[in-house]
Order: sequence, then C-alpha cells, then structure tokens
Amino acid sequence: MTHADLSRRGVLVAGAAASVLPLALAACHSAGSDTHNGTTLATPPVAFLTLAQTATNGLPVDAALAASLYADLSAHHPGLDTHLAELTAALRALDGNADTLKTRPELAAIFADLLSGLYLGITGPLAARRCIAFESIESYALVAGPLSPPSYAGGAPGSWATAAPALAPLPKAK
Amino acid sequence: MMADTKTLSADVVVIGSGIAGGLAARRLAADGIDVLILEAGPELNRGEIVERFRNSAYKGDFMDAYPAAPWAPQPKFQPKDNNYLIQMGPDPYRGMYLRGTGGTTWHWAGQAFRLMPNDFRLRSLYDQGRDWPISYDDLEPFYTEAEYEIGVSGDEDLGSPRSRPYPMPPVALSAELETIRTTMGSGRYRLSIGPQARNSVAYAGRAACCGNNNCMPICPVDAQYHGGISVERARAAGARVLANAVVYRLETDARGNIVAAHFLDPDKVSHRVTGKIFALCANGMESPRLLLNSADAQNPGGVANRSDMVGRNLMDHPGSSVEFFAKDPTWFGRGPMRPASMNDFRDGAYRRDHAAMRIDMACTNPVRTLTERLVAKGVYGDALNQQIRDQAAHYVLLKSLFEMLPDPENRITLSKTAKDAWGIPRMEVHYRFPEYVNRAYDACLTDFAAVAEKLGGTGITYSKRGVYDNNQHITGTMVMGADPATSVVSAECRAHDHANLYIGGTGVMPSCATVNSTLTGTALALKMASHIRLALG
Repeated sequence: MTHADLSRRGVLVAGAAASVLPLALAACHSAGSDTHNGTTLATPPVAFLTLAQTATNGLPVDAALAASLYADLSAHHPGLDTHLAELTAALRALDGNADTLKTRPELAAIFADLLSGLYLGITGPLAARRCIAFESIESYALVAGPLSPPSYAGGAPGSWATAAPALAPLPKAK
Repeated sequence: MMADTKTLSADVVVIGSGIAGGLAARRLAADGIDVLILEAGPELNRGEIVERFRNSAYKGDFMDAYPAAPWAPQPKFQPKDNNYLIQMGPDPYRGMYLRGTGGTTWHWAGQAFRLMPNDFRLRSLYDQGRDWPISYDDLEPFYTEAEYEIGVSGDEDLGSPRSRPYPMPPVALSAELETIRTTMGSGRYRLSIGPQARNSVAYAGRAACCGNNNCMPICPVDAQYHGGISVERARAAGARVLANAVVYRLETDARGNIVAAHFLDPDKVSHRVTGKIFALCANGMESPRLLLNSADAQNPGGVANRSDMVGRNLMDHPGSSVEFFAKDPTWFGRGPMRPASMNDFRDGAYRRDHAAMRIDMACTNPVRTLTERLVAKGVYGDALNQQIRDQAAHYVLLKSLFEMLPDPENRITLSKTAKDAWGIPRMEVHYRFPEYVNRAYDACLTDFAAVAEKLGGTGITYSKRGVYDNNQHITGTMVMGADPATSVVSAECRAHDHANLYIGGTGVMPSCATVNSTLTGTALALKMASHIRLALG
C-alpha cells in the first residue's frame, strides 16, 4: 500500500483492524508487505514494535505506520537498531516524561522522531519535516468517535448536532 | 522586456480569477458579454489539493497544499518566511493569498458576514477612518446577489438589514456548542450562528456540509464555496479563462484609457491583450502591485494613482485569542471550523476610542496542536494518551478580529531592487498596528475573561498585546471615495483616472469593520459588473 493510497481511502483505521499490527503477529509478519511511495518497506523488528508499544502504553499501532516510521527512522538515525532496547528500557524507567533523556542526545533524537511519528505522522526538524502517515496516527485514534481526522467526515450532514459518542477505554497504565 | 508575440482581445478583460473576478466575469458573460479572464497562477484542482494536504508535513500551514508556480510566487511563512513580501515594519504583515484559478477562497473559513450600516460611516459617526461614498442600502442588493450566487446559510441578520432571507437555513451547531450557547445566555456574549458560504442543504449542485472540519485549507467536498466554482461558472457562461498569464503592465493611450494588458507566460514570453474595459480583481496586494508597476511617462506614479493612494491604507484584521479548557466537554472539531460567534458588540460609540471587535468560536479540530505541545514536552505513554483525550475534549479557542483604520502610511510599495523570478518587482510592506487596535485588545481581554469564567475555564492563556495574527482580509489598497484627490476608485468602482478601468474586490473597501471581508468584496465586484454592463451599453 502506498502513502497516497492511504490518504485516499475513506475508511479510518482505528482499534484492532486488520491493518493494525499486534506485537505477536508482527514477529512472524513477512517482510515486504507494505510500500511507501513505491518503495517496499521492511517489517519492523520486534524490538522496534516493543519500543512503540512502550511509548504508546500499548495502543495498537497501524502496520503501515509502523513500517513507514521504522524505514524513516532507519534512514535518519544511523545505528537505530542498536539503540532500540536501551531506549525501551529508559522509557520504562522514566514514568511518562522523557525530559531527562536530554542527557542522552542520541536516544533523545530517536525518541523525538518516534513519538512525533506515532502521534503526529511527522518526523524531522522544523525546517525539514517529513510526513510519514496521516489518518492512522495515534492522536486521531485516541479521539476516534467524537472526532475524525480533518478532511474526513464523521457522519452525515448535521450528525454533529447529537452529543459526541463515548470514547473506547484506554489500555491500562503500565 | 520581451517582445509581444501574440494579441488577444475581449470586450471585458478581467485580471484575476478569485471569487471577485470570477463572479463578476460570470455575471457579465451571462449577459452575453465577451469576457476574458487572465489568471497569473495555474488551474487548481480540488482532488490534488486534498491529496497534498493529507501528505503535507506542515498541515498547520494553509499555503502548503498550494505550491506556487515559479511565475506566480505567493507569500509563505512556514517553515520559514519565503520573503516574497519584503517586511519593512515596524510590525509584520503576514498576508497570505493564493495565485491560481479561484484564488484565496480555496482556503477560507467560509464566513460570509455583511458589514453593518454604520460601518460605512466611520468618519461621520465616530470621527475615525473614512466614510464610504456609498451606503449600506446601496450595496444591499449586491450582498443579496452574492449570497445567492455562492450559497450562504444563516439564520439572523446580525444588524445588517436584509431584503431577502438567506438562501439556506443555518448550519447546525454541534451538541456541545449548543450547550455553550445556552450557558452564554442572551446578554453581551450571546452566541450566534454565523452566516457561512457553506451548504446546510444541497445547493446549486453541491452537497451539504458533512463536517470534515477542514474548511481551511480545503473543503474536500465543495460544500464550502470557493472561487474555483466561480471560474467554472464563468466558463459555463461563455467566459474564456487563461491561466498562467502573469499580467505585469497596463498600457494607456494619450486620453488615459487603458488599451492593453501585458502578460508573461511560463516561458517568459510577453503577450498583449486589448479590450474595451479592464476589470482589475487580482486582490488587495497584486492589484496595486500591477498598477504601480505600470508607471510610465504619462502615469509617473503608476496607473490610477494620481491621488498617490494606490497601495496605501492597507488594512487587515489583527487577531487576538485566548485558549482554555472548559469545565464541560466542548469537542471543538465537530462540524465546520467557524460555526458561531459573538456579534452583538460589533458597533457602538466605543469605536471613537478603540477598534470594533467580535469574538469567534474557533472550532478547528485541536488534536494536532495539542499533541504537538505535549510531544514537545516529552510526555509519552499513558500520560500522553490521557492528556490528549482530556485536553481535546475540553479545549476552547476564542479569536477576536480587530478593525484596522485606513492609515496611508500602512502601504505596499515596489522594491527598486528585488524582483521575482519573472522579473517583476517584489512588494515592500510597511505596516504598523495602531493604538486604536491595542486599546481594543485591552477591552477584549475583559470579554475573553468573562467568557472563560462562564465556561469554567482553566489553563487560560491569552495572546500577547501588540502581537497579532493576520487574517488574510486584505483591504484598502485602492480605496473607494468621492474625491479623486484622495481615493482611487469612485462609487461605481471605476478608477478616477481612467474611464475604462474598474477595480473590484476587497482592495477598494475604505473601512474593514470587524468581519471577514470576502462577502463585501464579492458584492462590490458584482456592483462593479453592473456598472460595466451599463458602460458597455
């Protein structure tokens, strides 16, 4: 699936849909199942998905988003794979605020792109940002129901005149 | 300069294909008049714009989905200023507009307010600014025509008397906004559904709004009107449209009539277009740029500039804002972006002292902005998930637009040294926010605080005094007036200095009040078209 295909589809990715890559499935997911701008993307290693799960506290991660993000981070953070386990361990120890990662700039840089990629679909510095995903990002998935990603409709004309539906429960804090 | 290689001609040559030029052209063509529209930028296509938005790395930049053609550069300020407008200060003027068929209303919010009668008499009533040479009643028929052309939904006149009802019933508020409306009550902060160029029901072959909440930068379903629709309707009525035609000079004869417009094509080849009448509708920046660039021995200060008013009196709406989290869920982002506002204090004796103002509920989906802030702080995991949800559910953004006054020192001039890639001088912008606006900011703080208190707001954050956002309501640079010594066009939108040059759109407005300018600019363009019809006999 290309990124352009992603943005054309009218169906939103949310929850445990087929395109969401649970950790266990990802471990045996064959490489080459996703493409980005015509480029075949490798399935991220389990260590990367574990890191993503830690950063999101276990939110489902869209498979194409994970593949695009891993490819992007690999291209812009040399030695990414060697830092995955260390960064995961650091996040588990930091309890929700990664500000102290500033003492480890190589980890902080990866983490900034990782978090921005997962929740905003954007990586890179302000002057040279890269869009790696849109509809499938975690921030939109979190508010699915009351809100739809901009440019997508949540229902028929006037559907917003009824009260916003309730949100799905979040994974328990770990 | 390149030699002319080709000659085109029309009874009426319309320069600029935004909503003003497009609708004026459509009106004239529908009457059987031969019309040619010249547009500097390319043909714009909705599907491509939507696609670019979704793939954009700068989704908060409304210009990012509209890449400029090399021959038709346009202002862009993210990720950094492209310096198309040369800022001369002391304050910034970050006006953004699109050059392409349909113009800037591809990315407006669709707010289609009329001015109020007193907005036309600012000098007489409040000893500020300028009076118009026409009254509200003079413009009212054209407001009505504009509303029915573009399709405006609304429910109350908001102090602007109407000869006909709105073409459509109002767009519904979200359930959460209805609750806020009840909370605000019937006093000063009464919440009104704003008039919007947005279909509440199917209208003129276009679908009803289905709440995509992406009015800016692009409505993906054309439920919100834009100038591209005007252009298509002009075409259907028989007008010819020539995109990628960068008009850089108007040529006059010995009697002062405009005899030709000269444009450059994408190969930098120059062409000459003749016509009986020329209608300049290239917005409040590019139109005066063209007039100033047309200076010659006969028109040493530029075309239509005997008064030295071309490019002066630049106005917009400096905006202030407040953000907070309300006690009850608000879910901004449900429905269209600018559905409601507080309008009952748009006029009053206070305008002797400070700028007119009103307050908008800025119902843009806030999730991206809020998430950016949290991510930048390094929040992650469960804390991030919880805060995104909680903040998005309770977020409120109020914006107030302040009325600028027509100050001749706020102006655009042509750079003597800097040119764009097609060799046309770039614009220098001189701009200062007056104390008149700063005093409105002070007054508005009281209103912001009162609204926040009524909604149980916490985490209240005000924008700073003297630091105002721009709202792309470019007005005043070719001001309308009765006196040729102090104005550029007459009440008929005809240049005082040239019998066959007309100017339409927001650039001729002598005052900008506190409401979005597009409907007034469109009404003026239709008024202009009516006078052109009469002039052609």
